Amino acid sequence: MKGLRVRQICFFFVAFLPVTKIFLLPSIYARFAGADMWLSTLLNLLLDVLSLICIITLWKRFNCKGFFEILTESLGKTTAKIIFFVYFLYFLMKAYIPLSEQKSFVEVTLYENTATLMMFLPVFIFCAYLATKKASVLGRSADLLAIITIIGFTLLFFLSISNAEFGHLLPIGVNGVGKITTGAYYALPWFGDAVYFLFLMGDTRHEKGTVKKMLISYAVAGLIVVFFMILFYSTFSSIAVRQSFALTEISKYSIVINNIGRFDYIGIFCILLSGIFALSLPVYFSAMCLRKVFEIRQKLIVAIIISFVVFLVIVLTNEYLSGVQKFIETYLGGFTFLMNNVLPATLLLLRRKNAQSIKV
Amino acid sequence: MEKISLGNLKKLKEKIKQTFPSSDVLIKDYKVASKTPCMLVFVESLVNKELIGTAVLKPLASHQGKADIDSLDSVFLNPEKRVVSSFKEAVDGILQGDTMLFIEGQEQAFSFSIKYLEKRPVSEPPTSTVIKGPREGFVESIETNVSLIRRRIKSPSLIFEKINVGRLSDTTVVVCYIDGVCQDGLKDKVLDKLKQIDIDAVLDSSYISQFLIEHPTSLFKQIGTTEKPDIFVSKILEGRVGIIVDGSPIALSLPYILLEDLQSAEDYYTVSYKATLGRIVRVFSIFLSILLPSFFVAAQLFHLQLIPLPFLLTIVGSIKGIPLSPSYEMFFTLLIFEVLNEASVRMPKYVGMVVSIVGGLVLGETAINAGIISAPALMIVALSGICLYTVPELEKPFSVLRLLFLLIAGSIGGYGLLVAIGTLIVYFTAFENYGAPILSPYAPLNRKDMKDGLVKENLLNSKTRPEVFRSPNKKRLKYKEQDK
Repeated sequence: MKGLRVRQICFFFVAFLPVTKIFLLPSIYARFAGADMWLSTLLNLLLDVLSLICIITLWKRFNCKGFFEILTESLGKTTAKIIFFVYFLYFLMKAYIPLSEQKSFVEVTLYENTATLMMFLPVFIFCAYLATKKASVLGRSADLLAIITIIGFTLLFFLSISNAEFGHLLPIGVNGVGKITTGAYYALPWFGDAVYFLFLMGDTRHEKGTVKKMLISYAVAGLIVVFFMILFYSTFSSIAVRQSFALTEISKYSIVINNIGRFDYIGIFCILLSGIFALSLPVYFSAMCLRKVFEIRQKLIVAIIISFVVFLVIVLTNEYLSGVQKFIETYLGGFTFLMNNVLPATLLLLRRKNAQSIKV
Repeated sequence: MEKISLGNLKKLKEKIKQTFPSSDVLIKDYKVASKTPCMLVFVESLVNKELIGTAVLKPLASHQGKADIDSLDSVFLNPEKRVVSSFKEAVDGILQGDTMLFIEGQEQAFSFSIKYLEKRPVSEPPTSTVIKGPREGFVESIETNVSLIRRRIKSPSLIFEKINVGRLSDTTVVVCYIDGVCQDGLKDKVLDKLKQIDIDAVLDSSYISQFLIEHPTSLFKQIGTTEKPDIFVSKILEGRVGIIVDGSPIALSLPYILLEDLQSAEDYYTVSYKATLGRIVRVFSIFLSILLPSFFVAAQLFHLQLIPLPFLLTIVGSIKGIPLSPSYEMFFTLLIFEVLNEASVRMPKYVGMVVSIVGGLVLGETAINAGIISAPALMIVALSGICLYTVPELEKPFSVLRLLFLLIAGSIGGYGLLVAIGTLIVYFTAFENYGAPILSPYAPLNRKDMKDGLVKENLLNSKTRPEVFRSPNKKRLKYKEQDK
């Protein structure tokens, strides 16, 4: 029996989509789109939604089969393996961004004394551990963590809303379409969570109203991100560009905190807990792809190798982190767009012979 | 193997003496109708001798007819009488406490179950006392325990399957389930596992549980345990399989989910909102117990901004002059707590009281006055210790987890702690017991099963059995139909 339900996929988006977009991304958006950064966010989310629709259509067309089976059936095993290998590389690249930015966040803001790489090392162990588990574990974790994410963001929004000056966002669209789309382009590597469903669809049971449920959940997750961006710019306005790790800064000006202490950290820790899972997802899926490509059965070995590779890359580029990130946002936007949007759309050209698609 | 005749009493006597050289196995010679020799064999310490006199010897002496099995069958009125045909059967019966009657020339023998076993009366178990609800508890006698269950479910669907385990102990293990409510695959799996056990002796149900668990290296509990028949019955009514072991007052149940230890027997005998509040308090206490010491240490070492300023000043004042670092201090205090805990449990009751007083008051007070540990650290350890006892069933694994978390918090701080919590979530979400996810009904979410989850709904709303146990008979309550 398939281990995932549509509800779990919905919770998966709500739990993990917003938590990777609140570290460096807001300041990147602010750099390119200024007050219209939330419009750039909307644009990115719209692209993701289109991808999700393409993937769900593909899933329906092929009778809820797995991605690898679909590719094998339509294009042959070798092509399927090549596509999976490309996705393996893509996820490896994708793993770098959340891991490196969360590492910086931990080192720069979370600890009051000098934090070392040692403090971030357990995350790689966690990535390896998660990568050995079945897809149902992701679904069950999402069941638990969706509520944790919502609690975290609610607390954070509640505390920061009083200091937000929404007038800073006006007039809407002042920066023009060019800057908005530029902002969206540079933010592309942070998006593309819809693609995860491509690799989970084989484990997902079909239900009635799948499209509606998934789109609503994606909209909820997207709304959290957009609202965070709105709050972010409304709070920091002109200095938003320099607020690289706004998560710990956005709510600290609340009067309540002055009286009680920084209990906003409860919300921050909730978000970080979901964040640990979210940043492990690319490692999880790259391990999945590699296992398929080379038909490896030992999950642990693959998981350890990939986590170690990512760890090594992070350690080696430790000194050049901002440079690497700049490289990713400048040059890898196209590759990301190709993997997140173009490829899922192209897959719609695939047709299943002699079979009817089911209504989901 | 040589066939031993049960009708040749001379040879049989020698064989029995050879088989049972022990002095508590008695062999008594009598005569049926004053002429046919017969022989009574029993273990002195296991039988009721007075009853042997009235139920076996008296009818035997007064019998005037033929001295064969068929004629004698109607003479004995003992309902627990059976006929055995082989020496092995007779030996097994003697060891179980039966009294054997061998008659010269008869290839069969009578076996009378006239046992006399010292047993504890049924009383309230000390591990789960209640204010409201039944106070009966299981005892060491399996017959009594079975009767306690049978008294609660008067249905032919209640099945007890007996199996003997242990090469030397030959302990009776009873698998209990409700036919049609329990999933067939589940009870078959349990029975198969029990049949495969090859051990010299089973002295308690915990021996059996070691063979039934699916993750032998796990720190966490995998089998439900209870001393109360009402809880046991409620579990098998949900579609679980129960296991009772002779000599143990602790009954087992499968599959186990974590939630069942957060449910108290009393929850079902009080109003639902009170039960809900109790459950929330228990869950909160568990989290507090595991995380409070570690978060306190992490906050002191790495995240001072987490602590409100007035409290921070108090801590600063109290840790002035303390020679140990916050993590060592907490670890040391927790260790002392664990030592005191162990000592107070193992010691006789009256000495245990002294240990509590000396440990809690004298040791704690002196340690603070001497400046070895700070008052906040002691308070946090005490609070954490008390909180853990709100769910005594989880005390052992979670106290280990508390130390582990403390170690992580002390070395890598709050973020390390989050990673540890994340790892625990992954571990638990992947953990299944006989097909039941241990975090059910929360991971995976199951709205129907959540009616008896953290929020306890009214009994009238719980119309179906928990889906997690895959019972073929889902309906539990037909309230609406009755109402109409």
